[in-house]
Amino acid sequence: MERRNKERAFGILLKLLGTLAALPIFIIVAFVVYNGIRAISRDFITKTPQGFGENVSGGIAHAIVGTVFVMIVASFIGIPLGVLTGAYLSERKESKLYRFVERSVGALMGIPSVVVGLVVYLLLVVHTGPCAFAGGVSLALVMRPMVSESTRVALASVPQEIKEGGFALGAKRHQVLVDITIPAARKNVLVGIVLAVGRAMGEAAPILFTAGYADAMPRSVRDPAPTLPYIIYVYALYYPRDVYRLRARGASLILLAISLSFVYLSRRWRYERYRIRKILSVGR
Amino acid sequence: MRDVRLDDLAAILTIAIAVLTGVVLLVFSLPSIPYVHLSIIWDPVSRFFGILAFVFGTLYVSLLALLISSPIGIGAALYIVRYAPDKVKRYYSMIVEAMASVPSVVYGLRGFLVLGSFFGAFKANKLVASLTLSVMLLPTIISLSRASLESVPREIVEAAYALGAMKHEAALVALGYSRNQILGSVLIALMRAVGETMAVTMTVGNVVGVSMNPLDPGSTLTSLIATEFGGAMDPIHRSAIIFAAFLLFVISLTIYSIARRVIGRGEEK
Repeated sequence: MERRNKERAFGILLKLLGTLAALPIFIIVAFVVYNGIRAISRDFITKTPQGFGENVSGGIAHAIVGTVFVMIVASFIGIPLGVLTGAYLSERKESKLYRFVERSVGALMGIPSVVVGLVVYLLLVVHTGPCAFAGGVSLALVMRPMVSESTRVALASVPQEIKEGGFALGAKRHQVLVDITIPAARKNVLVGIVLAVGRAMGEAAPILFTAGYADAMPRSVRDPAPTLPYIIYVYALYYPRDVYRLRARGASLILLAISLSFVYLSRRWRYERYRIRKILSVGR
Repeated sequence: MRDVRLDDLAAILTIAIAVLTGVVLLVFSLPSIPYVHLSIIWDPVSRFFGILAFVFGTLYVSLLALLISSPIGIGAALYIVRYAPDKVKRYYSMIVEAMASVPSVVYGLRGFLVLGSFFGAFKANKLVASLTLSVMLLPTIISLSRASLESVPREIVEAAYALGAMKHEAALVALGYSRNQILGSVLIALMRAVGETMAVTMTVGNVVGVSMNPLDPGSTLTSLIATEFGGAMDPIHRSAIIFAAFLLFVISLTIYSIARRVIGRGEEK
């Protein structure tokens, strides 16, 4: 029967498309591990680059430390702001500004991250010079809308009765938020934060004009601090030599391992993960 | 005493940052307005800044990527929702999550070194950029389409079965029911494609030109910003690049608001 054949063909087609869509991640991981593993050594992780051109040796410790510096700054700014905005979005629907806040979060999520970097350059870097602090500020801006959207979903999933119980005991609004709502949803809030931090860490575009580039180890947040994604970009595109390609591949392996371990970390909590994941796949 | 409202402050700050971003881009791009032209020639030396080649490159690469990844992504979402067994579903969401978390430089490096090597001397061109981008768009399309397919009311699918539909016909009914949301997810993916910087910059070739041949290198608004802003010394040149960023900002917001409207229209049903 023709209709039955059609059904079978359709099932096979969808299965093929499903497989095709899942394949790239395996190819990428295999490729990155296969090519990157040759570059990894103890020196690669613990030393800064020595020498120039073909004779470069040492490692990318400066970029690992740079990533840590930048992410600390980004987290200190981005997480509190993101969580608070998320709390507003979830708890203050009656506010007059609500519509504007919601639109702004959506707009900020849509702004290309390279544009975020450019704006931070124009407002901040022209005064401070490129440094880990400026890089952290731009990554905070990238991270923040993701944190607020996922926090909003997490807090909205806390049953209304629990919150009202707090009000019935005479708690003020912020007390209910800090002592009841956020603790009740803390795992879901954390999942969002972990995924957003992991996502921000992999971004190179906002770093291009803000964190600066140096071969030396950054000593404070005022020093230029390239991050892992940034040196991958620089090594791959601006140093067309095999030594640097290999270094870019090694750095890719380290970066990918960290990114995937953030995903793994977030998967240890279930709950509202599904909806949070949906949000995070929209944000860059 | 009034309740302390830190979250109000954060919310106002959010609005302020969004508005500030637009204003800053506009103000800093003003000096270049007399030098920006609707042309395909981009000549920083004689201060003639034709923006069209970059707009063309952005649209070309993004749309080609969408053309590749939407059928695959929507098909995969339909497979997961209507066909796949539970175990596959669970693993699939893990895979999609992992795909979404791969940094774009890693995608770019892979596109640059692996895909590019198929094309011999022309390592970087619009096709390589589109293929790289299409992989990056998959998680967005899959997870958003999947969510909208899952929110199709049970009654709709059951009604199709009651009318004697076979499995694939019921799946098509579900697909038709959520067409607005799926279109919305494709638009959100387009927004991401337009704004994607690193992977595109590493694979597109960064040659200013307008050519319909996908094997020719090109240049996009994002790759212009990434490659030229750092080295631009002339203030007018800088301002012209900021104008490109402003354009990118406007394009992204436009796509975002269209996507919102399309999704909203679907939800009213």
